Amino acid sequence: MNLLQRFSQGDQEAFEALFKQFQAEVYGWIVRIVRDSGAAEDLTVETFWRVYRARGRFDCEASFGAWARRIATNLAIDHLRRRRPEVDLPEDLPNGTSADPVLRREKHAQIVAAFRRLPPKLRVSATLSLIEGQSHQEIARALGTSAGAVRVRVFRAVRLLREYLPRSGGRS
Amino acid sequence: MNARRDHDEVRQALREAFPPVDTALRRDLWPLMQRRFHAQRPRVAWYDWALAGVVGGAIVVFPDLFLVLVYHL
Repeated sequence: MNLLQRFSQGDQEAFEALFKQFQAEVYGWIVRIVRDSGAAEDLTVETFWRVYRARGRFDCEASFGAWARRIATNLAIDHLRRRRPEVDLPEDLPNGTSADPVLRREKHAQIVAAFRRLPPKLRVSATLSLIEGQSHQEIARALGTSAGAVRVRVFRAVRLLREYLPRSGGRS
Repeated sequence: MNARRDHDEVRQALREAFPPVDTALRRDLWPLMQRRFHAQRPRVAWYDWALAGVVGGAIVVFPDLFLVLVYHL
């Protein structure tokens, strides 16, 4: 009986072995989404807790890493949903090409605030695609959707950011 | 064309605003996982222990009560 089969039957040692093998990968994925190492650690543990509880439903022929990543992504989205800030943006934003470090910092803060206003599912797709440079295929696997759906989400995120930041974004 | 330019500009702005995160795990999370397991173990309430004590004491004083208990179980 292999490790995954032992895990799916509730073997604690098999679970520990899988945890130690995949914890860094799951953490790395989560921290890319939530961008907070403390929250990412907690969410990693929560992911494996859910993995352990759902062990009976795990298909031993499937990829454990992909399954864990999908659970992790859903938890990260829930985390973003809970932490979603209510932010009001001022009308006038500094120009994106400003050489003034204060204005540039201000502009970055506005972009971060605008980004956090995005619905969590769009935010995750945009984070992984636009900031982290992950492929649509990879993101789609983690979200349990199609690459086309991810493309649409990224497109919508870009459009919303354009609406939230009407006078910024690098056009001078 | 505009959509492509918007996409590239927003991506550039986001990459400038969000510095790369350190994705390396700095410590073993297994101890936290064990704590999570421990936290989920069902805890026996004090009144359950009290009831078990009363029943045990009653059986010591009145041994025949054991048979009555077994019958009702």
